[in-house]
Amino acid sequence: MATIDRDVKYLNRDFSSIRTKLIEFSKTYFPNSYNDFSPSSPGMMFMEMSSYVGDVMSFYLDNQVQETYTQFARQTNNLYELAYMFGYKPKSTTSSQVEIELFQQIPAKYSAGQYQPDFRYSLVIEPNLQISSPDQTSISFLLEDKVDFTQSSSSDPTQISTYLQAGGIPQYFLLKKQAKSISATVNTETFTFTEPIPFNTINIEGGDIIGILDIKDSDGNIWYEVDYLAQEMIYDSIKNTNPNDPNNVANEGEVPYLLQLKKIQRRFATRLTSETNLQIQFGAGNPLDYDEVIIPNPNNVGLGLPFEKDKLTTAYSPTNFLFTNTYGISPSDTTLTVRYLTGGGVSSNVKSNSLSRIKNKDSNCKFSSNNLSPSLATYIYDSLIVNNPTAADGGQSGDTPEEIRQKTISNISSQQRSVTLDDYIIKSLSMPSRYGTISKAYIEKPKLTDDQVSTIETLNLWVLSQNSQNQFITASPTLKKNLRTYLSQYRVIGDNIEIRDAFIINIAIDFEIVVLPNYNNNEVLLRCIDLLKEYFQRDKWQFNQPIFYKDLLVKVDNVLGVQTVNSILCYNKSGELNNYSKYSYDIDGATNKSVIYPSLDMSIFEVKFPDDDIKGKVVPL
Amino acid sequence: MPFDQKQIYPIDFNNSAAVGVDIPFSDPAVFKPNYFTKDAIKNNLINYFLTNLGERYLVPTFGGGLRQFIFEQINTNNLTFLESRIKENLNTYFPHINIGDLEILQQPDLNIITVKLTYSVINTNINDTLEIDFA
Repeated sequence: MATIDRDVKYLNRDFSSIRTKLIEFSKTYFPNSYNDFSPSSPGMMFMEMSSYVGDVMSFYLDNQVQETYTQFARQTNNLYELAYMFGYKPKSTTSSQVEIELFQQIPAKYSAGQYQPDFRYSLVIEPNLQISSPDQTSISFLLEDKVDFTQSSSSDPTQISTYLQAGGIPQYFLLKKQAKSISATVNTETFTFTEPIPFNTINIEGGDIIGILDIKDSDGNIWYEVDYLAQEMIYDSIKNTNPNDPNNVANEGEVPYLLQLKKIQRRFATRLTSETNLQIQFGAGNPLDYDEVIIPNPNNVGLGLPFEKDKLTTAYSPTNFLFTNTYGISPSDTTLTVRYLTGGGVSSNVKSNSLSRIKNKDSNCKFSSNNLSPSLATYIYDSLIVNNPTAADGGQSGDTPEEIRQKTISNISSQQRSVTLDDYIIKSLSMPSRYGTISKAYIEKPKLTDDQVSTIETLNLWVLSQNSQNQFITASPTLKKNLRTYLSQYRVIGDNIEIRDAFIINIAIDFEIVVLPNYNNNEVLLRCIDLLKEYFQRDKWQFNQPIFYKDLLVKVDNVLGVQTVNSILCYNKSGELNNYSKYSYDIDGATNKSVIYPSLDMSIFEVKFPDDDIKGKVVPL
Repeated sequence: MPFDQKQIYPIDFNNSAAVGVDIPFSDPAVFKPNYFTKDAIKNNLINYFLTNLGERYLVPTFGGGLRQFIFEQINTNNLTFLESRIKENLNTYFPHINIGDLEILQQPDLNIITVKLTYSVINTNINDTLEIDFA
């Protein structure tokens, strides 16, 4: 049988070009079957119908391909799916944020020869305290973290001032704390489950859904939100107290909470399926099967697997080494109480000094101690006031399609894992402050001179923390423990990290200037000192940053009223007795061609007491 | 001596080459080819009258649009409007046709309109009459 060989053109995609090619095709291959190609002929009607179908199919083909690319997709539901595929969670609303000041009065007590605040009357405010404006009660703000007036640390300081005096004797002190809040309202919904259904889903309908606050079942078990159901480890924080961890309680002030990784089987993942629907999905495991707490061993990981022959080439995942496919358990015979947050939007950007009404004070505020005077306690309880000194900002409506596209694309390159050295620095600096604050971090590969016995290359992560006066201090073991736990989740498996203390080199500066005629010596001198204070601000300094004398000279020389800089000299201050670093440093030996170099070991220069350590003198020309 | 020069369609002399297809598509093989230009033009006109306005993809003005008058009152105004529109459209889509006579006959009792068109193809010897009933 002869093969039919037709010249088919695959480049035509639209109606007119397909129509033209069909006419050509008919003329070429069917010259005797049809010859009337006038627009009014019935044959042309069929050709045009075919062209129409071809055009529509080409359009849909293009459309389908277009919808598979994040940067081109137009349909909102496809954009949502693509965003989740790449790990970005679209937002249906964005809440505004504002710093809230909380004040409470506290009675004075006479102790150790002086009047001090009686901290038994200090209040503890649980998270989710709701605050609103007296004028706009519909917009609520929520305190994200617990506010504990009994504690003061560098990351969460308490300011104390005298509030009321009688005859020169303090009667009441005023405690002031700051806390972050977001514009959100807590909503509650319950869902009842009977039989366990694999990958069961529930839906929360409504506009402006920010996210899930928490989920508890009838037995009081907490269900944890995870990014994806296969994630079985979550961060959990416990208060740094003696019962929880007696070894770290000494650093309670600097590190109020301990960070720990916890393996959980009650978990859920959320996703917005549309702007007004939040879907919550659970795993597929039976609540009675506790296979997720099995410790891996050769019997249950290797030998117990059903696939015998290809075991050598099987890829094992530490997140799911049993291949159970349960991805958490599915709720059954229980009722889940879901608390979720709604709010945000542009209208939540409230003006300053407008948030003063506390909504759920009774359920969230309590005293830290018992056995208090009832009348005094009532007075103190009523003295709690709040205010926002600055306007709230950041509130906006949900992601637009273009925002979803851009954020998804950026999310691909910034997935939550540490690959480069800079990733580790950013992760260290971004650890939540409740687990302690890393103020300076630097990471480097080991040098040949490093005395490392391990055959695995160990990265050195140098860190420093800050105390309540913002002075550099070495990080406490508790802080480093939290940091280690925090980084472990993002660490690449081949990376070994050793967290080390960097060295602090305290310095002082003496300088002499000649002041121009007609300028006040003291004013010019103060300007120079202020300039040097700003120059040596801790935020501006990094590890291994040298001091350039020429830089200092030029800056001081440019101060208004300075005729010339006679001399400028940095020298070392050390000794723990004087509250300086215990490490001394040979500044003269480290100075070469007017540059003071830091030590080979990781170190940072610091002017610890700028008011005392920067001294200037006006000298005659 | 001048004489009346006429055009011919060469394909009419090729007995094995079909020109168009007949309407309705009632042949056992669905499409019944016709072999003369005269028949093809007649079927094209039938196709035109049976097509509703907007039915033809990308040619929304093509069609007699008679069906939309089925439920209209059969009166002089409507018939005059219909006649003028058909004439206008025929000039657009059948420029090679010379309309001899166009009659739109009415049978209100039977709800029938009959279009009777007598036409010729310019510069040819083709003359024909088309009659379609719409009920």
